Amino acid sequence: MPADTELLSQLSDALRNLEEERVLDLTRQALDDGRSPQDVIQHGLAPGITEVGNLFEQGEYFLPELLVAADVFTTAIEIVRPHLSKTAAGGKGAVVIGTVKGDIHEIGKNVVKLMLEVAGFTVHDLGIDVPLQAFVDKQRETGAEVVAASALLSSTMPQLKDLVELARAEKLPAAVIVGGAPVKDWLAEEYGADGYSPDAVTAVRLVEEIVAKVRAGRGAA
Amino acid sequence: MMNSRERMEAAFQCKEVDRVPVFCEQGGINRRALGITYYEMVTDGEKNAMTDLAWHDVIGDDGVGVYFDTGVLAEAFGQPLLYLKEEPPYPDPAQYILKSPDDYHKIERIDLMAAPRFREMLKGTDIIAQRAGDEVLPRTLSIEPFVTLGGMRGMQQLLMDCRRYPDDVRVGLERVTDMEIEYCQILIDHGVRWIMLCHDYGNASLMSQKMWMDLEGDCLRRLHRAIREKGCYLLVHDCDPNPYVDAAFELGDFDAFCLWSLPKGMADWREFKAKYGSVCLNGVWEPTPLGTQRTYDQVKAESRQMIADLGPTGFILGPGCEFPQNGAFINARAMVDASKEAAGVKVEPRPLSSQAATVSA
Repeated sequence: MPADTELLSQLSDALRNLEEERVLDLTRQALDDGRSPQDVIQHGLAPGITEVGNLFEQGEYFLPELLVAADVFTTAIEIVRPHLSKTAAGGKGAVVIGTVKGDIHEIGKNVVKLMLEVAGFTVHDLGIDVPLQAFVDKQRETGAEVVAASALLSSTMPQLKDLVELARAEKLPAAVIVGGAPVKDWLAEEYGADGYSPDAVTAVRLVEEIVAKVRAGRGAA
Repeated sequence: MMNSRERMEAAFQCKEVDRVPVFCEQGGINRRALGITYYEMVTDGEKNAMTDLAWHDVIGDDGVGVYFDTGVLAEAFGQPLLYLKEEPPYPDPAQYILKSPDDYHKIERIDLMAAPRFREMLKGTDIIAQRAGDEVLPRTLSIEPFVTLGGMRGMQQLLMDCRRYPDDVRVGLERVTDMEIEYCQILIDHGVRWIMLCHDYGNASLMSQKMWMDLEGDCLRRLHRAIREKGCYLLVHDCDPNPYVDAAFELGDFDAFCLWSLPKGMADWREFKAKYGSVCLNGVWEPTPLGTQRTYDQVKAESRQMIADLGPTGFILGPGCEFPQNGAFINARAMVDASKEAAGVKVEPRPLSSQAATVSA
């Protein structure tokens, strides 16, 4: 029987190499062997999916690889989840995410969602074709620190600006960040958004920065 | 002066033109020329044809033809679509007909003439060919088999299948290709003289070049060959960042390449033209800035520069993907005006609206 650290290292490698069945087997084995669920995620699954993200950024992996990795990661997390305490799973902060009304593209949004969950955030996914008011309503219901909206079409992109304006008008106590293929950083700035990310990896960093600031502000208050 | 048909043929053959042709790649905005709804435009061949002819009359561009949307063939295979009044229809995500990798093997030949919207496309094509076939070079759009297959399986699931079940995906692609070939050939028989074939999966935004060629290469070779053997011009379109241009040339002959993003490693479009000058280049406007973020004057000035750098032979000016359907008409006109001015044709000044900021963003 391999040592525990070696087992989690093997888990990480299996995820990086997209060996799906091996990922699930090693996840179960690690839990059966008494490893804590936090260790399984932090030292097994998270490094593996992070490495997948790195390979994607480097142009070694593409969407098929990223999606398969995210899919098996999600399945593995569901194996671990019953063993997690409430705060450990998604306790880092909350995000409301969706694709705006009239737009049905969701692959990028789904990858962002999964990467945020990997990083410890609770993600409230509104799906596709989402009316702007639904973003606002979900933020009020959940108290999420961040509202993340995407648009993949030039015809639906203006709604991102409308969402920012709606959030300001409603004095929503959350940051609004935007993304999607036709969106650029300068456009997001024109829209008045609180942030923009071109991909899932930077989206996680952006949300971490924003949530840290929001929580620091709430603590000071 | 050449007419539009002569101009486009000369451009495709990289021969001398009277002025650089303009193709706006209008796929939704042109419905406003006659004030019809999107729904009408994608279900009624006569209205589709007449609104594109009206667009041609108003704007003066050279790309005239019938195009509905990317779901026509998937729907013919039995995939339910959701129809909206003012947006293109799309596959119903709750009812994808390919529910497992096994289902790729169940895709069967279909009778295209039994598909109502395909018949409407033919009706529209007949109208353009008969009314204006001497003046314009009738066009249509064909999509690579991956797009149709994604419409029946769900794109996200299809991409995962490409990794997990490539042999099954390959079967599905081959079956769809059989019908895509027939689709193109029937349209050519009804008067289409150039086809824009979308290679939308052939870029780094979606999959590796190796995966793309391994899975779809043979299908695209067959499709390219089938179109060229009918004497039809073929324009390859790839509208995402980092297109696989060299790979596209391995698929067989074609006449033009429609792009807005340079292939990886290239510094500018002049370098592209120098390397790939054997085919006509169509582009190179990025659609969103062209349609929604520039003034008329800016579009005209930048278009003039594109023409100077990349024309006059072997170049068709336009966006590298669909002109935004919420975009500014006047910017489409600006491209045509730029083409005319560059050729020394007098263009009426537009003092009242030339500085107008675009509305949408």
